[in-house]
Amino acid sequence: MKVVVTGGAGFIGSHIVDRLIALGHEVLVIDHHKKDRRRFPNPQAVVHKTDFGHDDILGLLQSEQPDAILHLAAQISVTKSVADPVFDAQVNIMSSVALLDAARKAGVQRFVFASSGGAIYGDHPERPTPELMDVRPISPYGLSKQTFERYLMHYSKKHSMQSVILRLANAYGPRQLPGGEAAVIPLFLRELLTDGQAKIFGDGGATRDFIFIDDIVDAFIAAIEGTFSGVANIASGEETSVLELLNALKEIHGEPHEHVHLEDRVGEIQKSVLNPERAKRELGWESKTDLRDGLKKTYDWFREFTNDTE
Amino acid sequence: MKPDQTVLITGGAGFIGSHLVDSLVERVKRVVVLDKRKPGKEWKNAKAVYKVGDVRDAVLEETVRKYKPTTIFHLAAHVDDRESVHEPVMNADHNIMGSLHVFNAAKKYGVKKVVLASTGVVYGQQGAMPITTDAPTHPMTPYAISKLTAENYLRFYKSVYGFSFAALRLGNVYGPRQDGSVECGAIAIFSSRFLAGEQVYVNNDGKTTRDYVHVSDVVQAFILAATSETSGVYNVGTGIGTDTLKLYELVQDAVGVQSQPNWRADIADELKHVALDSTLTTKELGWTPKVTVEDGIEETVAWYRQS
Repeated sequence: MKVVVTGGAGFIGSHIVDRLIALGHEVLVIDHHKKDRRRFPNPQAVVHKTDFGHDDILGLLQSEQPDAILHLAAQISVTKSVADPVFDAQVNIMSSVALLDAARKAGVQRFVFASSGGAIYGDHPERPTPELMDVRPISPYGLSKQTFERYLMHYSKKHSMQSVILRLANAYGPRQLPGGEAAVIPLFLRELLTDGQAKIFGDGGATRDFIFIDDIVDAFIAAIEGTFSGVANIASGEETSVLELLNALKEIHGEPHEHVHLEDRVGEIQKSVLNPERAKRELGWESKTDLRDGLKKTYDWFREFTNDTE
Repeated sequence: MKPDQTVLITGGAGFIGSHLVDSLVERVKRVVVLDKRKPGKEWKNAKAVYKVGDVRDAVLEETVRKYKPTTIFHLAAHVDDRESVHEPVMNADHNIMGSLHVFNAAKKYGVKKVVLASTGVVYGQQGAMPITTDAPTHPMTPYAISKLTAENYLRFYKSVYGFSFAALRLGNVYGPRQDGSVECGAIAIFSSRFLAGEQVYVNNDGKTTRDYVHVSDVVQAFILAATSETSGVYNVGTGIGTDTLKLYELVQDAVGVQSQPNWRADIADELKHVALDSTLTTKELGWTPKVTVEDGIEETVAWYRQS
């Protein structure tokens, strides 16, 4: 199979590319590469160093004729989306719809989109949250993700394109770095490994559903190898509090560490856990990695990466 | 919106917008119009200020900064539902990015209220008619998605920046000045074709229903929404679905001709039925439709006959 991966040098994308290549697929990466030290391009992939929304994307897809597009490139910061909803919409809606329209015109049959469970459901009272559709995301980021999902579902129906929307829970694993999307695990690791002070906003009782990168890669592979079209949560289904998470990391680290509690941030999601039953049923997928094992692998990678680049 | 204030109408040279301008000039100090097109000579209101320009360009912010409106009526949009299926990027650029530019300018210059022209097609196909505003939305076309998205951004702007808003989910608006030469607005198309002695087509089985609401009622809804303190999403419809064949007969009677419709099967209308329940609009804005579709068609046909 020939597969295009947008954002294929980023945290999630680069792991998917590695697996696709290991499975013998031909891979084309479209990635802006703005911060090279934070990008992880696979040397065996053909990399187009460009924004996915650029004008010639149709020409590229027409000449390459890929079997599938995995769309991971995005504006990924909730905070930035609140400060600049126009920029967020430009990337996550406009450029994404342009890519989708080009895919349709080039005759691409499969389109898999990395969406976000947490940002779309927010603090939904139903937990674990199933694949709800008529919800109202709070942030422009959640809104732009939901909007693109709607375009994709329209294309799927109107143009008979197989489309899979994977609503990811809180992804973590090697190659995830502090900054950008403000994921909590790399921030904790940085503080632990630099003898800093891990910051917990609020009392640490806020919960998240952490899903390990290898499991996420499995889901994307299942999506392109199967025939399912629709929306599926990709999640562990386990609710872990931020304080439990930090304690688990401290245990792996094995050295004493004093964290600090700061005032809760406005608009922060309090409770988030997703129901992964549909992915199990429709994609034959399930989360395999125990949180502790995943955290250990992440910790080891992070320590090595930080040492190498110091 | 108060009498000593300024208001801005984007898309104010269009069909609905021009009627809204005519009504607003009698109610407020100054009415400013921003539209890509110049208004038609007969529709241009001498009491309004007209600016020619696109809401996606710098002219929008310049206009808001210069005139300091307290209310913006945002009607400028790409409104052709069928065309949006073929041109989703263009449609989204007008209706999502264009709206965001308007909301951003509103935030920046302290506009108190934004009234958005939305659409009843955001609901998609529903089981129960008429549709209430708490029905789940299932937009089926890029146009419907773009309007729903603009509504949702308004909710965000309200919650973060505090300005109030109303999104009016309009039924199928008809009345004088609607352009019958373009492929939308069944009453406009039927009227102008019957009067010109041209072939009139009815799509599919003629049983597709829409909620036809007269432009004078729609103008009233915009004004009440701007005057009200409340924020929210409101249906603007009669609550009655009229099928295409019935519409054909009503227009034919008003024109005074008798002919059999030409059936055209190849135009798919995936959205079969729309009738909008305006109970909430009555309760919160005090709006009720006044013009029945029978009377409205009589009046509209008379207008097409003259023009």
